[in-house]
Amino acid sequence: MEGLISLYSTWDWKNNYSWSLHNSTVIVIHVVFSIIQSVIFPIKAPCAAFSIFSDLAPGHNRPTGLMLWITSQREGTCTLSPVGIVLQSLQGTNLIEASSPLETFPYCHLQRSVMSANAVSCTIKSPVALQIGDAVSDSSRPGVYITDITLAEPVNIQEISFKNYYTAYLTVRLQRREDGSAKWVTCLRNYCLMSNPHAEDGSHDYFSIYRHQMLTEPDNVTTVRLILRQPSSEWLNFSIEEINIHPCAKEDSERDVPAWISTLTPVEEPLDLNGLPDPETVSSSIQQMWALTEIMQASQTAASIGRFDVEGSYDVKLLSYT
Amino acid sequence: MAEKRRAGVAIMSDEQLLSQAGVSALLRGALLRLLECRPEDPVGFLAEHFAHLSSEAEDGASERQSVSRALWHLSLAHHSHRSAFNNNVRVAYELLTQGVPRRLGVGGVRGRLYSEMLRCLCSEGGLSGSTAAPLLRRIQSHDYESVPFELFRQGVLTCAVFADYIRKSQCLYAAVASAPDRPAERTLCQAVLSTLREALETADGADVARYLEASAKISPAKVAQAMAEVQPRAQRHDGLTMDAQEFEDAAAALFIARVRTVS
Repeated sequence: MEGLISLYSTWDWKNNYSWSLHNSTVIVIHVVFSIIQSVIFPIKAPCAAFSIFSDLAPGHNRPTGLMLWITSQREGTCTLSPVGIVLQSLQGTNLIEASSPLETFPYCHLQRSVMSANAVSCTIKSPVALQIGDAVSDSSRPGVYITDITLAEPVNIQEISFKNYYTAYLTVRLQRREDGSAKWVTCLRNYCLMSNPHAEDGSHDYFSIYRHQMLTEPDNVTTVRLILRQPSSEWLNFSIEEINIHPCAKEDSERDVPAWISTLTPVEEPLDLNGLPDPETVSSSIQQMWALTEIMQASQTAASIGRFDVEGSYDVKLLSYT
Repeated sequence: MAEKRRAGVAIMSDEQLLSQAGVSALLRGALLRLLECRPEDPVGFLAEHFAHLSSEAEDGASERQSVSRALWHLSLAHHSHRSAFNNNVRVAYELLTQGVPRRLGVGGVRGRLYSEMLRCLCSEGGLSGSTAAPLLRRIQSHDYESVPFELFRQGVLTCAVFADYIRKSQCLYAAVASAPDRPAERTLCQAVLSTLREALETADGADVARYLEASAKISPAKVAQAMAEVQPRAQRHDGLTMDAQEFEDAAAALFIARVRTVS
C-alpha cells in the first residue's frame, strides 16, 4: 500500500525535524526532496518518532519542500505530525526549540496497491483447546489452542497476517496437496510473538509472516493449522484475530507508483562530461525558465476583452471598419 | 497666540503652515512610496515622484504622458514582489483609464493605449522588436477595444515575465556555449531545449505532482544524461552550430506557445 503526504514550505535546512507516527502501519518512508533527490528512509519500528537530519539531503542543494512517500503492508490511515522542531547548529548544540512552521497534514490514506493482492477467502474454524484430562470437569485453563483454516482452493501463500491477542508462541503447519496426496508440513516452529509471556509486550501487535520466513515453500496449500501457545497463567484467554492469507501476486500486476519516482535515484555510473557544459548551471537556468513559464501560465485569466457596447448592443458611432 | 493678534497680521505657526498646504501629507506619501519601492537612487526617485505628482495636478494630460507615467509606476517593483507589483498595476490602470469618458457599459483601458503600453514595456525590458513581436501579436488588442483590469494585469505580467525569460535564455546559451566567442553546438542546444520542452509539457494533474514530475525531468542528473547522449554523435568541431539569436527565438517560441491569445 502506498500513499503520499506532501509537505510544502520553505525552511532553513539546518533544522532537524522530528515526527511521530500515529499508526503502526507505516514501515517505509521515502523522503523526496522537492526538486530531484530522494532518500529512502526505512522506519524500523512502527509508532516511532524519527528525525530527519540535514546530512540526509544529498548534494548541496537546499530543498524547499518535503514529500513523504509511505508504503506499508496494510491499508489504513497514517498520521504524521511534527512533535517538535529543534534547531541545531552544525556543531550539534541546540539553539532554540521553536514550534513548527510547517503545516500539519492531517492524514494520508494508504491506497492499496496491486502488488499486495487481496486476501483469499477462507473458513476459520473455532479454536480447539488441547488439555490433559477432561475438558469439562478440569478447571485449569488451557495453554494450547489449535485453529484450522481451510482454503477453498489450493493457494501459493505470500503472507499470513493477523492480530495477536496475548498469544506467546505460534507454530504453523500447512497441509499441501502434492501429487494427489495431502501432506502436513511444519513451516513455522514456535515463532515468538511475545518476548516475555508474562508481560504485555507484543500482546496486541499486528504480525505478518512471509514466504521467506517459512521453513518450506507454502505452495498448493489447502489447510493451514495454527498452534497457539501461552505458557503464562496470567492471561484468562489468548487467541489470534483478523487472520488474512494473501496469495502470491500475479506477474502482470501494474504498480500505482508514477514512473518518474523511479528515476529519482541518480545514475550510479559516472557520465563522461568531458567538454560538456556544467549540468548544474544549465539545469539551474532551465529550472528558472520553467518556473517563469509556470508563473505566466498561472496568471492567465479567462477574462475577455470588452467591446465598446452600450447595455449589450453596439453603439453605432463606435463601430470601426478594420 | 496673543503676539500674533497684536501684530495684526496673521502669521501662521509652523504646524498651521504645513497642514494648510497639505505638505506633511505629501511628504508622508512620498516617504511611504520610497520605502515600498526601495530604489537604488532614492533622490532621483523622489524627484520623479514629485514631477509626476505635479504633472498629474495639471488638467488635460496627454496620452503620451499618461503612458509614460504608467510605465514609471510599473518599473518600481519587480514582478516577483507580488503585492507591490499588483499595487503598481492598479495605479497604472487608474492612470490610463482617467482619460476615457465613462460610458454606460464598459470601462477600461483603450485598446490603443494598452498595446502601446505593452510595446514600451517590452522595449524597456530589453527585448528587441522582432523578439517581442510574436508575443505582442497574441496579447495585444485592437484600437477600438477596451481592456478590463484582469486582462491588463495579465498582459503586463506576461511582458515582464517574458523579459526575464529571455534574459535567462541568454544566460543558458552562454552556459551551453563552450567559449564566449564561439557559437554553441546545434545538437547540444537542441538537447537542452528539448528537456525544457518536455518539462513544460508535463501532463495535467494535481499541481504538486505536476511540479515534482517536471522538476525531476530537469534535474542536473537528467540534463547531464541528455547532453551526454548527444555527445558521441556530434564531433568536436562538426561545424553545425546554433547562434545566439536562433537559440533565443526557439526558447521564446516555447514560452509564447503557452500564452493565451486575447480575444
